Order: sequence, then structure tokens, then C-alpha cells
Amino acid sequence: MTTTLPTALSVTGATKRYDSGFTLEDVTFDLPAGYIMGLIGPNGAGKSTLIKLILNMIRRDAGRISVLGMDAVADEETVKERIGVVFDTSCFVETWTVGKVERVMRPMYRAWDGRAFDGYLARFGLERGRKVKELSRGMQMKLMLAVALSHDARLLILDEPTSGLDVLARDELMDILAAYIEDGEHSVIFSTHITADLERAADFITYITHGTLYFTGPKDEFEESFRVVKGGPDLPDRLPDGAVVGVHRYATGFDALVRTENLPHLPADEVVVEPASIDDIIRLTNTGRTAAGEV
Amino acid sequence: MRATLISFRLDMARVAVGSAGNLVPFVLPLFFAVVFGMAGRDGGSGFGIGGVTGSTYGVCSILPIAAFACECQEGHRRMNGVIPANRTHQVFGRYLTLLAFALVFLAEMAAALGVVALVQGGGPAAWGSLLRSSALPGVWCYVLLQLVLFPLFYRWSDVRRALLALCGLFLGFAALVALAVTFVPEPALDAFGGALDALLADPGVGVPLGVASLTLAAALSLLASVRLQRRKEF
Repeated sequence: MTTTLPTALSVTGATKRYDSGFTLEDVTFDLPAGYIMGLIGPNGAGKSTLIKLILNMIRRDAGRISVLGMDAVADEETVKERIGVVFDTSCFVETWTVGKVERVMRPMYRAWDGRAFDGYLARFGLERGRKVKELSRGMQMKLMLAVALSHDARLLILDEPTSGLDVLARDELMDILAAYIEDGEHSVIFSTHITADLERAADFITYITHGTLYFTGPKDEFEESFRVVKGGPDLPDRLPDGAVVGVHRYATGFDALVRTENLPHLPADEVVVEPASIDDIIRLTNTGRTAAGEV
Repeated sequence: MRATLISFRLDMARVAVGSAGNLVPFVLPLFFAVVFGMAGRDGGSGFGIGGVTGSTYGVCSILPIAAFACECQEGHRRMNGVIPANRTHQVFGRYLTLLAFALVFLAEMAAALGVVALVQGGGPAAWGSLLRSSALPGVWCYVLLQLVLFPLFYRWSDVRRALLALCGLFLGFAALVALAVTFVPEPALDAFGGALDALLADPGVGVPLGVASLTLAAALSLLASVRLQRRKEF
């Protein structure tokens, strides 16, 4: 994906090999400034590995990562002044109070805005005297978000922020992210396996499966690139090779994922064609007859 | 420098957690000072000083262990990936905490030795003598021990393994001493010990030697810790 817009995050050929045999291989994508990117994929795909690479929490075996125009390793100190991070669980010491979290985090950032932090505490209903361990999971996420939003971070990185949250909390988070990017100078990348969140908020999608980049680009283009084709149980074996990205068979028929441009090659009178949701694409690219190179 | 201070403040915040109950261990050396001071009143002052020094060691050893252990618990290490400080800064910040812990150790020793001097009927002069003869060497030993321990903590995230490795080093050192005692003639050992004692008793020699040795140990320890931390994955 190429873009002439200012880039909040640029990942080029990022590769990480683990001794276990899992490899995140050659991931390349750009996040233009002022947009939200959803990083999706099944469990174990490599989403958190990619986020750890961006945060320099693990070593890259290859590739380059640039955050807000700065090298993620060489300029790590400056980069981290300008980004906010929210993990799926709290990273604060659980015996700290909310007030102590502020006292600890405030001196770390030159651009810390105490009034903004107070505002987020009030909005999220966080009391300064409460200990982190006394907060629910959703409230702990909101505390991390309050910290991340209180030092003029230009890029928010969220790793599975909505896992374990109820639908109201997830909606609230998506509203906050949408407001965050409104001025065009702030950007968000968040990993999730709850695709409903993406439907609401994401402008771009980067889809990783089995450690490989499957797709990166506008969300609408992702969904429009595929169709779900349904038909009788004997049909999949008669479909043209290469036309089907992935197929799920069941007793009475099949669901197959087909690239839109390959639809004319299918027997139109024997199949039903439906739009593909993000869930469909993820599900059907992780079954048999799946080829990552089919992007 | 700013990034190092950020790391230092984070580590101090990690250690200084919990309620006032966490301060109770730091009262123990003062309690032991009363007990050992009374026990050493009739000529056994060395026993009293040893007890005070040992209890202060024991209590102050908690501090660096707490810094490393807290970092590894419950995903707190992820904060290292969030704060605006790279791994080298984080190591330097952790070593700055050692300075702070050494000051706590010195203060604790000074207070406990003051209690010993008081219990044994000595005055400020006795206290000053105890500070020179016990507190300063005690701080030197405490810092040296931590300078050996820190790279072990960076090598093994599991604090217990690091402490086991330290035990192994002590056993190795004890074996060397045993060999020396076995094979070096006793007069030679006595002469060596006497000369060393006389040398270190002179503050003009002992203090610079202590500072120089700690500086060298700190440099080697820092180098090892930075290399180990840079290779780590969170």
C-alpha cells in the first residue's frame, strides 16, 4: 500500500523468528496520519508480536520500523514520548492507587497534561484513591487509556484493548478513538480479534495469519476484495483451481471464500454469492485450500 | 540523563509500594541492636556488631530483590516497553537505585550502631568509632554484593535462580579459601592478613582503595548488565 500522506507508522519487512518455530515474516504496511488501523488475525497469528516489535520489546531479525518519522530503535526515547500504549491487561503495579499512577507517569512525559488526565478520570469514573487491583478489567483499561491520552501522544497503540470488555465499554472506547483522530494529526493502531470493533471504527485493516501478512489496505477494499460463495456438497471439487481462497465444508454444502475478480469463473447457476464480512474472511482463510499468496 | 532518571523513579515507585506495614522489617535491626548491644556489654562487642550488621544486610537485601521481582510480576515488565527510556537507560536507572539502597543501608547501620553504643554506655565517640570500623566496610560489602548480584538478576528473570547462582559463587569462593588455607603455610596467611588489616586500617589508604574497587566492580557489573538487558525480550 503506497501513500503520499504523512505516515504515523511505517513497517517495512519486519521479521521475527522464535525458537519455537513461529516466524512473523516480512510484514510491510503504512498507517497514514489521522486514521485508525485495525490489526486483525486469529489467535497466535502474530499481532502481539508485531506490536512488541513496534515497541522494541523484542528484537527484530529483519526490517525497519519507523514511528512518526523516527526510527523505533535509534530514537526510542523520543518515540515513546509521543506514543501512548494500552495493553489488554494493566501494566501498572496493582497496589498503586490511581493517584499514584499519575504521580509515577507524570514526570515521564514533557507534555503531560494534568487537567486532561483529571478530565479522563472524571469521564471514566476513576477515583484517585482506588488501587489498580480494585478496578475491574474495563476500568484498568480506561486507566491505561487515560494515561495514554494525557501526554499529547500522536500515535496510540492498543493491544487487544477490548478483550474482556462488555459491549458498552467497547462502544465507548471506539467513540473515544474516533474523537481522538478527528483533527487529522493523531492516529491509532489497535489489534483485535473482535471484528465488530473494526466495522465501527477502522479505516484501514492489516490482516496477519500464521505469521504472514495477508492483506493491508482500506477496510472497504478488504471486504470488497472477497465474496462468500455457497453451494452444494459436491461442488467444491469442481471449482477452478486458484479461484477459491478457502473453503469450509459441511454435510449439506460449503462456504468458500473467493476473490471478487474470480467470480465470473464460477458456475453462476450453482452457487449463491454473498458479501464477505471480516469474520468470514478470517474464518475462511484459516481453513483448507488457503494460500497466503492469494492476496 | 532524563531517561535514566525516568527509569530510576519508576524503579523506586515499584519498590516503595504497599502500606506502612512494609516498613516493619526496617525496625528489626534497631530491635536486634538493643538485644545484641545488651548481649555484648560484657566484652562481646564484636558479637553485637556482627548481629547488627547481619540483620541490616538481611533487611536491606529486600530492596534490590523487590525492584527486580516487582518488574517481573503480573506483566509489569511491559511498562519497560512504554516508558520513554531505552534498555541502557533502564539499567543505569536500576543502578541508581543501588545508590539509594546503599544510603538506606548506611542510615540503618548508623541508627542501629547508635543504639548499640547507647545500650553499651558509649557516647558519640564510641558511635563514631563504630561507624568507621563497621558501617563503612558494611556499606562497601553491601554494594559489592549487589554489584555481583545485579547481572545475575538480569541474566535470570527468576529471582530464585539468580540467588542460587550467587550461592554457587559463594561456594566457589569458599572452596578457593579452603584451598588457600590448606596449601598456603599459616605464617604466610597470618602475615598477609596482618598486612591487609594494617593497610585498610589507615583511612588514607582504605577509603581510596574501597572507592576504587567499587568503581571497578560497578563498571564491570554495569557492562554485563547492559549487555544482558539489551538481549532480553519482554
